[in-house]
Amino acid sequence: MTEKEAEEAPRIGVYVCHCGLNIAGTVNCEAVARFAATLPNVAISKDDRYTCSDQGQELIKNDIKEHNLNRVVVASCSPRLHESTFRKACEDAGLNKYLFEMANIREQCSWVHIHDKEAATEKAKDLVRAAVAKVALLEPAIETEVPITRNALVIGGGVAGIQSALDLADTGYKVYLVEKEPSIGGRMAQIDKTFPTMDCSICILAPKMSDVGHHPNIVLLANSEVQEVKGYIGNFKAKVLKKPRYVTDECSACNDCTEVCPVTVPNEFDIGLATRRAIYTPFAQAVPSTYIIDRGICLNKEGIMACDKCIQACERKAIDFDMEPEPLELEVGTIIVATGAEVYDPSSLTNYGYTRYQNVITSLEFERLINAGGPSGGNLIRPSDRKIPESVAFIQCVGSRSERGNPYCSNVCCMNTIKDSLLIKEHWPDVEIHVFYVDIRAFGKGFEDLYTRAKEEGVIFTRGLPAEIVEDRKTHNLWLIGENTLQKELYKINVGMTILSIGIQPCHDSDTIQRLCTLSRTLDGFFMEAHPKLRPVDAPTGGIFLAGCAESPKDIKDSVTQASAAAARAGILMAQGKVSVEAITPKTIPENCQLCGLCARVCPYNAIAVDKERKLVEVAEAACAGCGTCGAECQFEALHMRHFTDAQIMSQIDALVEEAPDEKIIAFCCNWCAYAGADFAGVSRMQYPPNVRIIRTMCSGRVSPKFVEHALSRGVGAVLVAGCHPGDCHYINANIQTRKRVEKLWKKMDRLGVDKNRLQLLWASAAEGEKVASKAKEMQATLKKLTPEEVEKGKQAFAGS
Amino acid sequence: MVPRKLWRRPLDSEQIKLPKAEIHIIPDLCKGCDFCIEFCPRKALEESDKLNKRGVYPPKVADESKCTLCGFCTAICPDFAIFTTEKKEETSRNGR
Amino acid sequence: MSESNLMMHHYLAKYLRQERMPHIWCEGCGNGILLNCFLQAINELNVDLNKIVVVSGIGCIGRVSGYINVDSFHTTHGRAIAFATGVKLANPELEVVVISGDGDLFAIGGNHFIHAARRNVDIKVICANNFNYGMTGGQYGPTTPLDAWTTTTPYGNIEHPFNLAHLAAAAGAVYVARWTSLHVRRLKASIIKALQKEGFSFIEMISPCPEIFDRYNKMGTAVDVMKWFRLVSQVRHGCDPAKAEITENEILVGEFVDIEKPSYGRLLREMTSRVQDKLKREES
Repeated sequence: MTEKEAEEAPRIGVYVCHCGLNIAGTVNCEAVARFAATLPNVAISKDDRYTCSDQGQELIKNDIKEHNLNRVVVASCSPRLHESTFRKACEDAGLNKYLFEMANIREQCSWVHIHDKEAATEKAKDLVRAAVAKVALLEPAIETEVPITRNALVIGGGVAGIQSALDLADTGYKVYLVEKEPSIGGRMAQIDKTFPTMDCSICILAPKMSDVGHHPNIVLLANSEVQEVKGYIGNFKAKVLKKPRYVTDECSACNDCTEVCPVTVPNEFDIGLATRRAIYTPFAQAVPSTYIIDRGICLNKEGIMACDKCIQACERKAIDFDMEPEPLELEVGTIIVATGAEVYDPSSLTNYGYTRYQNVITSLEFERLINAGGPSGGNLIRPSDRKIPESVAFIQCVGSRSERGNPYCSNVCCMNTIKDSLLIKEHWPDVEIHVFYVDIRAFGKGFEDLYTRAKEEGVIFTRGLPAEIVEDRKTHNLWLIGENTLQKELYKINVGMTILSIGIQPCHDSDTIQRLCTLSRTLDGFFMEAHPKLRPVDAPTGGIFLAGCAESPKDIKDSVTQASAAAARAGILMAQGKVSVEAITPKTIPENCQLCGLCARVCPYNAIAVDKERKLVEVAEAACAGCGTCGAECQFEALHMRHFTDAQIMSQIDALVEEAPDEKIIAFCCNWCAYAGADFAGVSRMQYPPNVRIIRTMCSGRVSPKFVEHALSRGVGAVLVAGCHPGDCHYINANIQTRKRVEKLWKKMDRLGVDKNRLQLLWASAAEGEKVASKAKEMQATLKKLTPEEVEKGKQAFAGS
Repeated sequence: MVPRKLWRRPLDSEQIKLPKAEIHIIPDLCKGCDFCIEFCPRKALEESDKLNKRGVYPPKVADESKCTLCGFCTAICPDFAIFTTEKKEETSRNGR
Repeated sequence: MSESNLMMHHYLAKYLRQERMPHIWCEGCGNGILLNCFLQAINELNVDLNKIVVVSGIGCIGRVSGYINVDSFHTTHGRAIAFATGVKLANPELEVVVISGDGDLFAIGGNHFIHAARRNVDIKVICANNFNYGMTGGQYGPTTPLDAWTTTTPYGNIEHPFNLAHLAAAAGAVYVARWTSLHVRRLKASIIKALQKEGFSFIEMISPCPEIFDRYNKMGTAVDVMKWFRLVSQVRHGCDPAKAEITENEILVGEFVDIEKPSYGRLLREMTSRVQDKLKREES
């Protein structure tokens, strides 16, 4: 961009998208386009059916060249979806991609005001006006490039983590696979057979596990935990703690030590159905194939060795009680989160009697019982009398699809039960099998066939979960009492054993991982993907990807698929070797700077350095994440917040309050949570009143008090500042500053006699569209009660802001 | 793996045969230092209420089934007044 | 009155001179534990009892040579190492172990210690360190901590103590380890290692002295002192012994030095045979 061009007046092209009927069904796009043509600096204004399509993009590109446009506004969907698409189109046409702005008239307009077409159209006009005002002030920018470290970190060693690690390692990248348990394998190692092919689970997993152990490009860190993740895409620094096993690499897995260890406990791998010692190997096919000492139960505590039986028994002298944890610092370019799932604990469902009745078992306990290498040698025996039951019942949806457990469907339980019932029939054809279900979800390839087979084998499917299980004290048989909803009659069935088909939950320490990698979680607790359809394995944070049950419950096939997908996506970044840093980082204005250092203090990334001697403030661009908190803190206008300057934001405010300000609510929403939440409300078609006008900033920390004051001075009805939940801020903790500033503003409003309720603060995550919609409704109610005097008072109080 | 407490009695609890212990105390050799009582990992010993020839209270077995034959008392006794041997006949269930 | 027959069934009974048992050491004294660990070590190694010699000096621990059922000698004050050197050089096939106390080895016997270590004489020195001269009523010695009360420092000790592990390492010992009386298994393992290693090995055992030093300095019962060992000891193998001073809040234990150096005896024999060969050749 030459200086001549910079001095040229803006020539803006406005494109109002119909998006089929998604926008056009509610908003009058032609009217909006006509309106846009009347705005200052607008050279051309058009409406188009599908602006993001090839044809739509061609239109823009041609117009840029033909009409010499130097700014473009597209009024369509959320910039979170297509900003990059249109930016690329501008770039292709020779226009700097930072001279482009979007107005969100779909997720935040047409989809949420379906029944109020007039108001939606007026809102769309306002939003276009704001976008036009901002784009006129935008400046061209060149992005800096940052190199990407060609190493990857995979957190979690289940089948998803294993697959990702193998794919990335085969591509040629170095992979650190961190697993918190002593062995990799996860849930799949515990399962007996897989559906629908009835493959032996560990038989197909073990070769992969072995490959991971031997692969020259994979550094396997089992019995290790991630403690800290710092940095940004392409340049992460992860601190991993390798916890001590107390057994060295000399161990040859000969098992002499376990035979002499005097301490026994139920083992976790077999869900307590078998015993292990204090020194043990998690299971026979464990990788790494070595032993570990559980210091919690070992007799040697506090540095004193009371018992040295294992040391005496070990010929290779492989036991070292003095091993210390080893902290490691890894430098990686991409991270794949594959932390997997745990199972639901049905003890709280007291009507099923789990833990009270011996013969009520969970599906995971079933897997261990029926596994030939398991605690009963593959015999499905009743815990009470060790005999094969004559009849069994499976109860579906335990802990899933219910208010008493988790609300979602756990995906795998229906097929798991069908597979289990066929396994029983295979070994003991005379056992009577009942399956009590709500729905049978056999959606995948070969699933319906398996279901049909089960029915043909004589498995009895009854629609209607038992209300209660009662035990026969003498025989320890179980009475299942419930309603068969298809026959509309009650049943009371006596079986020898009941298997509860328990659901899947996210790992109990997923909130730790969430905080470490600044991820978002959905209400179900699983990690949220960047976009449910188009970016299903990307986490919203750049450079981090999701795979397996960490993202949502799924079976092995889907976990492996997703793992390979995540590896491919990570591979794209690492293959490119570099990534561009978005040009939204601040530039200092030394003439205004007073060296107060407040900007440096609020920066969550320590990216600002104040040198009092050389009278300089320097911003480390590579470390800056672009939250803008520094800009809101600076009192002396010494920071130029590129792409989100004070002037640009003020121009948006002015545009939005040009007409009927007292009827409007200006909402400052942060890109990652609140704005995404508002988008989600739109995607879910949650309806709310059309008074809200959203201004997007990257972080709620960008919102300077002067924006709020300016809006009030112009007579706006109310202002909403919305950001991520405390502790979940995408920029670590910038939203702490947001809260401080809003609280200060409330105090000021009190002092000046302005109603505090006209400024609201909302914490809403990207999954909480509901919250955004409710807040909008709540604030509209406040608006209705607003008197003209109060509006005037606000204008006077903050006049000159 | 599964964070909840494991509540079942393992199916192989009958088969796991841990050696049964026999604790031998020689009361008149004991000088009453109490090391064995204090540092036994399973607290299988306690002070007896019968004075020995030296005028101190030697240990007595509180619960022989708790003993895991770790041998710490044998190793730490300064006076060779206590030692454990393995009972050769029938063996016990899980020592826990 | 002999209670020797009481001990008959104890698996270590065969290593003790039953007629001298029970030993005269106080209740909770670390010497008994040291004896127990030493016997466990030679039992595990199945040492030929005719090939091992125990030499002790003067002090409570000095009586140990009377209790162990091997060839042993109870020497004059401070001269255990001198005697042991003689034994070893005269008959290199014997395993010679010096078991003595902090006062005997490092006060009056200090000079013998540093030169034996310097020369790397193939003897194993095990020191029971109870921070005072216990046998004679509790006088201060070279390892008494600063400010401690003893009968000859009634206003508090004004001398800084030796760091024995540092002294041994600096003098040239090839194996230096420190443990407390509570670390019985590791002490046994160190003794086994020292017995199998060529050169001057030094093992320091920090010991309670319940009737004398611990009582004078209000450290509680023997169990209290052992609990304090458990609280403050930290295992640090390979730690620099110079940095392993014993303080009220920290006792660093572990194997500090483990190197290889030819022993004095080996070099002496090599030199002798070299010179003899030379002389033989000159003669012919």
